[in-house]
Amino acid sequence: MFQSATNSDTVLLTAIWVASLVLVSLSVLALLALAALRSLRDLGREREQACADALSANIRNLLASRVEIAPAMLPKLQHRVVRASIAVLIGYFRNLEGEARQRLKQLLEVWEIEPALARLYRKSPRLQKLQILAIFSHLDTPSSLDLVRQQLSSEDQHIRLAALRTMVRRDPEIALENLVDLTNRSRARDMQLLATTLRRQGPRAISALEALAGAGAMEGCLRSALEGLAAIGAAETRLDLTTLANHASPRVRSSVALLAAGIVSPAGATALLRLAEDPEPAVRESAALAIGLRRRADLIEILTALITDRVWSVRFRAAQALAELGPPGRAVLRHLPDPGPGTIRIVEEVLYASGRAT
Amino acid sequence: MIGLVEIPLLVLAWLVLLVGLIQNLIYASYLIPAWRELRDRANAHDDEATWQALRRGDQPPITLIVPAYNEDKSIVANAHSLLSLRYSGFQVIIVNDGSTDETMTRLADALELVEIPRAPIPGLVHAEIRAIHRSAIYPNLCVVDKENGGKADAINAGLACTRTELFCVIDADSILQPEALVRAVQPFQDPSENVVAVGGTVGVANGCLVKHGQIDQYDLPQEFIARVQAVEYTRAFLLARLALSRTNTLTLVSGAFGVFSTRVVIGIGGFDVTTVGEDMELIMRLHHRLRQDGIPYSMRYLPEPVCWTEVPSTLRGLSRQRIRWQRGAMESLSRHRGMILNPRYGRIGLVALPSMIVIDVLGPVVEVLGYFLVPALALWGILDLDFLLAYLALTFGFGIFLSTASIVLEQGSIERPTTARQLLSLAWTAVLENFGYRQLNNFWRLTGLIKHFSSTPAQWGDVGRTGFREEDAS
Repeated sequence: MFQSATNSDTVLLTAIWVASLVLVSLSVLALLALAALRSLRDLGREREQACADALSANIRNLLASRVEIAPAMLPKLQHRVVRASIAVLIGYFRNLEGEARQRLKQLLEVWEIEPALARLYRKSPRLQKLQILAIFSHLDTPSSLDLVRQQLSSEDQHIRLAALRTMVRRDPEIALENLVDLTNRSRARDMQLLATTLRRQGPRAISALEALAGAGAMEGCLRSALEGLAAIGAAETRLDLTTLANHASPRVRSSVALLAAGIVSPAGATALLRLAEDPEPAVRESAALAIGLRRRADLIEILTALITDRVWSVRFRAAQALAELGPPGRAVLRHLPDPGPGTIRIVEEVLYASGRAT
Repeated sequence: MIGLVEIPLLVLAWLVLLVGLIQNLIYASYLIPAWRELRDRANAHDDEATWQALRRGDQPPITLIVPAYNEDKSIVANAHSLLSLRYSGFQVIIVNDGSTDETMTRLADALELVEIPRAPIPGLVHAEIRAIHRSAIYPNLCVVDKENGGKADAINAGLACTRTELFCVIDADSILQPEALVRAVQPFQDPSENVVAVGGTVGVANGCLVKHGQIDQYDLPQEFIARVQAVEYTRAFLLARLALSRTNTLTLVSGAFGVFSTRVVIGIGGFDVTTVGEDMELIMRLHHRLRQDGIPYSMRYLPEPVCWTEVPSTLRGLSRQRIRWQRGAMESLSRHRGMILNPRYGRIGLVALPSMIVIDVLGPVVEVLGYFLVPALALWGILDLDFLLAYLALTFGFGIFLSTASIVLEQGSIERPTTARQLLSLAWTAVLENFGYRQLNNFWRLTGLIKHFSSTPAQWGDVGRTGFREEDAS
């Protein structure tokens, strides 16, 4: 019995050590190949760095001199030079201002680097594309603006937002369909940038955001639209805040609170009253936070109720919001009828942080 | 013909071989998901996202909790290093865990501390807080001065003073990459996932040149004992955790660097102050509670180096650390044994924890047994050459393969400053690691196991760190 077992086991045992030998050999060979590639990479980087250093020195000399820049003074636009120019130009644009920056722009015009960068852009990985867009945000030419505008509908979210940022910096009017498209496709976390852009676009952006929020949008988009409206500072809205305040998602209800606090009509206060009684603590926190941010002293009653909330974090937000309201809010904090020890410490901390500790 | 005496020995020898085979297969199985994770991250161009985030400056507020005990020599420099992080809004809470040296005095002098009233969040277990201070020169820096209670206790005290949605725990003697936080908060910003914890790769800083509190020049450690840990960190920590992260079965976010959701961690009572492996225990408890409550969640691991730490460079220090790690793992497993092979806990219960038992419980026992048993039986003539070769292949061959394959995967997928010469040095270390170091490590793990089962009280000990190589000021 043992003899037959040994025979079949021999196959397993042999397989183990043969497999081990093969795997070790392959992995060591792969490591050696990687080391060889690493050598080549380091060599390439050294050469590119040398090219960038030479280019940087050349541009610095030309910017410092008073002579008129001629094409012959600049290096030929070979692939490596164009690549090296990206980091160099970003550095110069970041550090130069006024006349020096204008001279740099003249230099770029003479050098005809913009078409070369545009060609390189199409074949670039994302980081390089973002860097080229950063350079284009400093240029004045219509052709560079065309390239940036095209990127507003890029499939890549990072590129879309970089293009948007570039457009904002150059300050042309952005087509409404682009804004709607961007709002629809952007994540909530990018709304800050989008809201800044939309604010520049005026009231028509409010209509775009309301259209988005009212069209049965997905949760993320709905939140983005609501927070966008809140960030813009919409004082009125066509949206049905009462319905939105009863939305199934607590995250959406939190976003509604941010918007409702800015709405001056009674609909805003009604929605906030409903949200301040929400079963979800995060929503009640948002309601308190929003009232504080908007300094809605007329809604102090809501905060007075929330300061006795059973959840610690809601009480803390309500205390912070009361402190934001100024003297009436601080008076409420100082004269709470029957605060527990936990609430007293919160009040002490909030009053201290707001610089009114006595 | 085999006699009755030899049969049990032969069975034991086969057990050694089979457990070794299973262990190696588990490690080898990590390579594929780890490779896929690395490939996806390379496709996602994480560096570019980081670059974008840095430009945008819209990162969520975060609090860094830094527990410190008797760190008077380095605490001020470390505080300055943390304050220089590239992040738009962060708080630093240094928790002086009842230091008996000059830690508190140094902090007070250098940072101009002023006592403030602050209400710690109730419900977290920690020793008494003596006072909470704020720096007059850095408004985003607080120091919590408390009675001594251990690392987990100190973290809980810091957590009780945290007012941000996210917090990050880092060791006082670690160095964070400037963009570490920007990277680490990215998973939390994905609205499609409920991310509760993010870990990051901890790099070995022995040998690196530190300048102004940052890694200025990367190099491998000079000492073999530290260099071999660099290989080990790549194989056992980076790749294993990447693979586990891919399958949402991460069982550890290193205590040296981890970002967590404040609300979720406070919700489960913070860190456990009664274990030496508080980092692993927290992750296990998160799995336990969130799965029990049916809350969808995920934990992520970042392959990019986010934190640099000095690893022990003496055998004595290393042995203490490894024994402690083993005990921590055993304590966590023991406390959450209800999850093991329980279908209610999904992959964690059915795959991750059983794998841990094979690797962390059976592994050291069987491997140390094999060191004596297999050569003895081979000399006795009970085991033939094929068995001996297979055993050597499993112990040394697969060890070398796993280490070198891990290095290739990591270095080939993520941008690293490693030069060709350093790569070759790592490869050589990966070979040497299996002759001596691996055996010693298994002895330490076995000691940890024995101490756990014999209920010897656990102790924190000095692991023999000597300090970073700093640029000469002159």
